[in-house]
Amino acid sequence: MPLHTDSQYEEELQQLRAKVLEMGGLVEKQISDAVTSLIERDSTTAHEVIERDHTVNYLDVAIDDACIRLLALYQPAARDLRSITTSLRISTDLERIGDLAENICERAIELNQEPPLKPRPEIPEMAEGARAMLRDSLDAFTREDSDLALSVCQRDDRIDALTAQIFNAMLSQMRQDPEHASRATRILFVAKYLERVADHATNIAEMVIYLAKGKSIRHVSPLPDSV
Amino acid sequence: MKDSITFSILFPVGLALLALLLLQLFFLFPAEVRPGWVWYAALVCGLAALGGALSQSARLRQRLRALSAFLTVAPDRTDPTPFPALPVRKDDELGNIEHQLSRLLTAQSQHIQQLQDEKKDLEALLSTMAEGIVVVDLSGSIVRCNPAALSLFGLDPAEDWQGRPFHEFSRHPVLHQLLSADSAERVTQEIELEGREARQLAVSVLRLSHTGENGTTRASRGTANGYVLSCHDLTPIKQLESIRASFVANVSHELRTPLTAIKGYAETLLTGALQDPEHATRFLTIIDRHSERLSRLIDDLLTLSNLELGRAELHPKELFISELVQEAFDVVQEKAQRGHVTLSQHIPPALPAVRGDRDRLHQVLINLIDNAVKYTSAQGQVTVSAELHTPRNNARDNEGASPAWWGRSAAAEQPHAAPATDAAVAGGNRRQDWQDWLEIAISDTGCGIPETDIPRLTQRFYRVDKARSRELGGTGLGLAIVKHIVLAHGGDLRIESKVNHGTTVRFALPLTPLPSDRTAQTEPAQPAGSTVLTHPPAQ
Repeated sequence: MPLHTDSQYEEELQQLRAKVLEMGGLVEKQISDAVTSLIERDSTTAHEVIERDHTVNYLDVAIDDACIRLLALYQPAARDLRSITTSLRISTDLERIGDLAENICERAIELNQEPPLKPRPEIPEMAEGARAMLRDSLDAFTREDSDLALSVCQRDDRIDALTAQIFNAMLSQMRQDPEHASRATRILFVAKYLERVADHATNIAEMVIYLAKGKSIRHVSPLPDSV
Repeated sequence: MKDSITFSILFPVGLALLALLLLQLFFLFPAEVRPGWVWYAALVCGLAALGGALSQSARLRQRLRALSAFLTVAPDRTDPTPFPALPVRKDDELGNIEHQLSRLLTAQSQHIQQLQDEKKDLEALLSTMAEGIVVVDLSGSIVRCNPAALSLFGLDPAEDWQGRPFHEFSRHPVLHQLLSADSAERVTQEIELEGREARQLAVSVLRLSHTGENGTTRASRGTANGYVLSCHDLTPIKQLESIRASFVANVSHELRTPLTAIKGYAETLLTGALQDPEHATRFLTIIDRHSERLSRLIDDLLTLSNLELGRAELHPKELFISELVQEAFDVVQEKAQRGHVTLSQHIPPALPAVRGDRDRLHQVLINLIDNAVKYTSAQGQVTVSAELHTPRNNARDNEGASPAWWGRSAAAEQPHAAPATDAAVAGGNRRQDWQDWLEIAISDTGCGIPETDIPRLTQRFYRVDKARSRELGGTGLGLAIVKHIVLAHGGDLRIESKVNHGTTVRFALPLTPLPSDRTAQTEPAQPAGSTVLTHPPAQ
């Protein structure tokens, strides 16, 4: 990173990064608690997650403010500009993941009011996959590790495949037993939410590649083998 | 006295005064009688004064320069090597200063050395600690952290974290909450870390605020002000806790199942079925079968707990595997015939004897052969073979890890912790350490075991197919007992399997007992030659 004579600016950039990582840590916990509440049928945890969502929203606003302040006051260029715009976008993705965690909890609470359906193995696998993708995308951001970020992007296909699989499974279950429809639909929603979490994690990873290499791999298909 | 600074100043001044006096005297004489020598004397005195002054000032300047060079270097020294001593040239006022400064620098060198030693001690202490320590200053930057902390948080041990923000170290929200706490008390909290491997840590945070002498908080860099985070790994304890809980749940479940049946049929008998001879006999048979099962379960549990506690004494004798296998076949033969399973053995003649506890090894063979027969359908085959491994063909055997492997290691000593992998073995039953060993393999052509289940097979009450195992009368403890007996003999156990093709269980017994082996502890050590006998000529 280039040296700035302005230490105030340097400190604000550092604080912005810290805030994004703090928000990342919080969102990671939200998702993992949401998944726990779903799998262990624990409504108390689900309510806690919903309660905490406002902290995520608050951090999102704070990061937005900090980014705009930095842009307006210091007119940064090159790498710093990339770093600030990346933070801006990552915080938006994180905020959406936070909302999805909240949605998973809402579905979990609804599901807990009915007797359990036979658990599908796809849900824990998707949850673990999405969580790992989020974790790795944030680790990649911390270390500006574009290889790790690329591996996150590559893992998205597996999650999409699992979503399709669970969609078919739920559909046939609903056909067989219409009584299950309300629960099966909710599980389907959860699968969709998890798939969205993975998508947002992929977005974060793409931004990390942009930050580290100054190169955009968004909407590129097939994905490059290396960046 | 002649060396003092006063003298070196007074001497030229005196000479100069003398020159002036002589000059005055010279001009007192009338012009025509002025004596020439007075003038010359004045001139000589003047020149001497000038020369003296110049030379003295040059010498002084030289010494002052050396002093000032000394003083410039001294405050920034970090190297404890002694500074070249200041040449104390004179026994004068300046010389005294030079002398004291030299002493100061020597003392400084000692202090630097002392500090560096202490730092090294501290670093050695920190790096050998099992607890993770991270010191964070008030601005959130890491001041220091030890290798244990890096490994607990799953970070690269080679990375240098000094001066980097704690946010990059861990994003865990609870940690950041703890780090922003203002309390001077130690706060402890349990956290769960996700990542490649999940961990549970007890983290305690202590706020440091070293106060200076005047009572104010020193806002200097380093640990004077900040937080010390110490992390204790709770993962193994939590694992043991959950294993214990599930063990208790399993035991009560396993005990209750036969009890429920016994109680149910006994009640039916009491409420009238006793009068009906046909039903009564059937019910009594069921009661008998379940009490049999209950007693088998309790026997197995006792055996296992004795083995695990190391209370089971081994009575080692020289044994011949072929005899043991034949005895086991005699026991299982009837069952095999009922299930139309063929038993066969491929044991080469002239195998050396192994040293082991006859009853225990008998139990191992019966358990394994019985298992094999149980899970093999009609027209199947169960084969027991044995092979002698000597150093010549051992190298080949040490290569390539089998799907599941249990040798004695830190993990294997803890009941039912994750099965040992080669990496986890910290000295113990490793084939590399053995001279010769005998490997006994029991293979069947049965239903096989899915690969994901293999590592958990030796856990108590672990069953691949619960319903089927109970139907076949298993207690769920057989393999756990086998594992413990084999380990107690200093051997190891390997299981390979392919679904629908069959399973092969191999256990190896070293022919030269290890010094740490229980056999060697209970019996006086014997020369290697006497523990290995050759099998008598083929019988």
